[in-house]
Amino acid sequence: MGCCFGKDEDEYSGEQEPDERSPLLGNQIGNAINRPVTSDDFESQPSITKGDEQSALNRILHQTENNVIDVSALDSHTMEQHEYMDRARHYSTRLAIVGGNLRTMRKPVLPIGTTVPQAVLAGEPISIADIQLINSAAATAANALSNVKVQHKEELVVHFVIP
Amino acid sequence: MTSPVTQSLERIPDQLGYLVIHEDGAVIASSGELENDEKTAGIIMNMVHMASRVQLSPDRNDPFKRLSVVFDTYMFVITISNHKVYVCKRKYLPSEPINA
Repeated sequence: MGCCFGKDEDEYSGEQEPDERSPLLGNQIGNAINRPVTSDDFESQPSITKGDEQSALNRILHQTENNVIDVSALDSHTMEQHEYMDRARHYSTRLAIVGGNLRTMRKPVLPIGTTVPQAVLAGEPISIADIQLINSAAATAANALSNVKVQHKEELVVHFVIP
Repeated sequence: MTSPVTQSLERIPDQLGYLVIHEDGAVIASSGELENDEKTAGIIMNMVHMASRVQLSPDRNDPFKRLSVVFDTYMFVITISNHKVYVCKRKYLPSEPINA
């Protein structure tokens, strides 16, 4: 038994239905990585310098072999048609849950606007009276906002009287 | 690029330059003092997006018609048409006396 996020190895080792979280690379490569580190790994290093060139080259070859991932050798999991459908349905339901948030993140589209932009732009400039009205309204609003204060009327810490 | 719209933008009285910006922010056409002025285009697009969120009337689909950015001697007038933003820089000649 593992804890909530305990990535138990045996979780994927069995004949489990592969999903989007199952590792693409199977154990045939994994054993090279999972191989327990033995003392050989460290002790053999100086031997390379001692001159046995052939064994050094073999070692390099072996290491390279371990590092190469032969994709063609992996048994590829071919998906059946119904599996595609199942996944498509699963993903679309998940997307529907989070989809609302995704839509709001997009930049809002512009309104259609006018059909005669040149006429709108060529129109009379805004009147000074209107500018003054907006300026005074904005100044009043800014003034009101700056005067918003929190008034402490009650004690921040309330002592409950337990009878 | 000359289209009927840009030609009529040229004829706007007291115009100092214009910009036509696609709604994704790309400058489609420009001239005069605003020629290739990508910086101003970016600022104006931010202002347009902000302004289009302001609800001016009970009808949500009734956005602003013209956005005016007025300075002492010049102004930018901005409008939207067919997924493009049209910006015109015009001389600002206050005709009315300032009654403070």
